[in-house]
Amino acid sequence: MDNIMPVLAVRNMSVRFGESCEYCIKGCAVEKGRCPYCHTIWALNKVSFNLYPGEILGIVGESGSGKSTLLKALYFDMEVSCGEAYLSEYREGRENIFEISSQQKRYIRNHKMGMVYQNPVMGLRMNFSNSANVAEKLIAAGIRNAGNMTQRAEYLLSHVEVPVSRIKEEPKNFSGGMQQRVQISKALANNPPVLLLDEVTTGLDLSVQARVLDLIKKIQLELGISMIVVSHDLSVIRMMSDRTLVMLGGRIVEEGLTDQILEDPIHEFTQTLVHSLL
Amino acid sequence: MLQVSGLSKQFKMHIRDGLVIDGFNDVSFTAYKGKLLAVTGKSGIGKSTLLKCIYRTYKPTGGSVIYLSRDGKKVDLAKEEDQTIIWLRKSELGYVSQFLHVIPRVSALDILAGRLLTGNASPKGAREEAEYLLDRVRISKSLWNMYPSTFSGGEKQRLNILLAIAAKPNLLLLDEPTASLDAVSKDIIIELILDTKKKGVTLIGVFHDRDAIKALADTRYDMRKNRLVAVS
Ligand SMILES: Nc1ncnc2c1ncn2[C@@H]1O[C@H](COP(=O)(O)OP(=O)(O)O)[C@@H](O)[C@H]1O
Ligand SMILES: [Mg+2]
Ligand SMILES: [Zn+2]
Repeated sequence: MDNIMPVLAVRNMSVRFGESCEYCIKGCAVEKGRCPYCHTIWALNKVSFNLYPGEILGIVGESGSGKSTLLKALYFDMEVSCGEAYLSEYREGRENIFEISSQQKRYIRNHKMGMVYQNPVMGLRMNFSNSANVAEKLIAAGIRNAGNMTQRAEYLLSHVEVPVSRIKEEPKNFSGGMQQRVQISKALANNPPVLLLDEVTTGLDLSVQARVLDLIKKIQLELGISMIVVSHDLSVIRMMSDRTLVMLGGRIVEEGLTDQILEDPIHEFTQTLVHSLL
Repeated sequence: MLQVSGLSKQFKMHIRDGLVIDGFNDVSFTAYKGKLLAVTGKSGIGKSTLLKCIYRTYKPTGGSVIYLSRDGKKVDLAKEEDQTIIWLRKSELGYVSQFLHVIPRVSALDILAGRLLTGNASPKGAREEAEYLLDRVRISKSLWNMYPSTFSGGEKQRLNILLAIAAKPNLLLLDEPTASLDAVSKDIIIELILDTKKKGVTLIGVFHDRDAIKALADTRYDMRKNRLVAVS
């Protein structure tokens, strides 16, 4: 029960679109993420949080609150304007991963973090077979033996319940739920300690949604992997996460146990969010 | 052991022009190992709010909840870090209400066996123990592989208590676990709670009926008078 070391520690992370000015650079209250003077958008404004080992951390907030920006910047799809992040499994958490070389960033993307996007087009090559999609990730991590690769790809795809008979098919012919399964297996290919999931069930039918979420939960229990699950949908957060961050205008306005966030929201915005659903 | 001091809870409703709703005020008591403290008072007085504050589903507004953990550390549940609360919930804090909350689409047997697996049990051992326990609370064998969502109220509640006990809590909070149940289910649940007391678990419970209080409680905290009173 002693202090638990986070797997990922994020400090004062900001992403802005625009030049910023004297007012907003000081981190003054920027309503809804936009500076009233220079109109710079602060998609993320000094965000700090920890992700603990084996936890599913939920992030909830309305569309435009900065949730996707947060995940994209952590996965180096987008540059941060300032801030720090430390991964316990990268150089014992001693180096700010926002300031390492692009080669090192690639290493982290291939070994230490996995990402599942809302839109499967972002995570998959639609004209490659499913197994080739997974193999691509294995090759990136330096696995060269074709036999090993096929075996591992088959194992991963069957693990996310893609029928073996269909692993040679291309994901473009798959349903949305199946595409998400392929994306998940690709993201898990190299056993990353951290998995980022951005609205992965948004837009799917409710029953398909439930099965994909079941799968993610099952994988989390089996592998003990730490996950950040982003969703605008409180029912997804309720089902998935132990702890939840609430975002508004690029900031974290409330952080708490998921049942506390849902049953005893303290911040005005969280109250609005929760009560609008009752 | 659990020592509650000056605990209170107010809800500030920003969405209703900052209206402040009183949960309860200035509650103090100590609950002991192997004993059950019953919390009483009329509906709306704050009994459930109190239990939820101890479990931290609600954030207390004032006061402290000093809990002595299994490894001998004193923590203030009212202020402890979220991740420590999560850890404690997984290992030693239990909470049971009238409602069963379980992972959907998993059978009763699998859920219970899963709960028993934490610790050093083997999967086979956990399954056998789960079967033994389901049988003991007289949940018929034909239901073991069904989803609990299909169970009757009494069956759901028997499973609910079993799940809480299977997690081997050190402190167990019970919020009307016998509400609106048939006599048989009620007796089975009372028996399970008595067993739990014998194992040295600290229990705090809200019960709507006097029989259950008589059978189970060692002390009683009256929320109207804000103090401990005689059990009967
Ligand atoms: N490339 C961009 N250029 C300008 N503004 C952007 C860009 N990407 C995101 N934003 C803005 O950043 C804010 C946060 O967006 P986003 O992270 O997508 O929110 P969410 O994922 O919570 O819906 C919004 O105001 C959005 O319009
Ligand atoms: Mg988004
Ligand atoms: Zn500005």
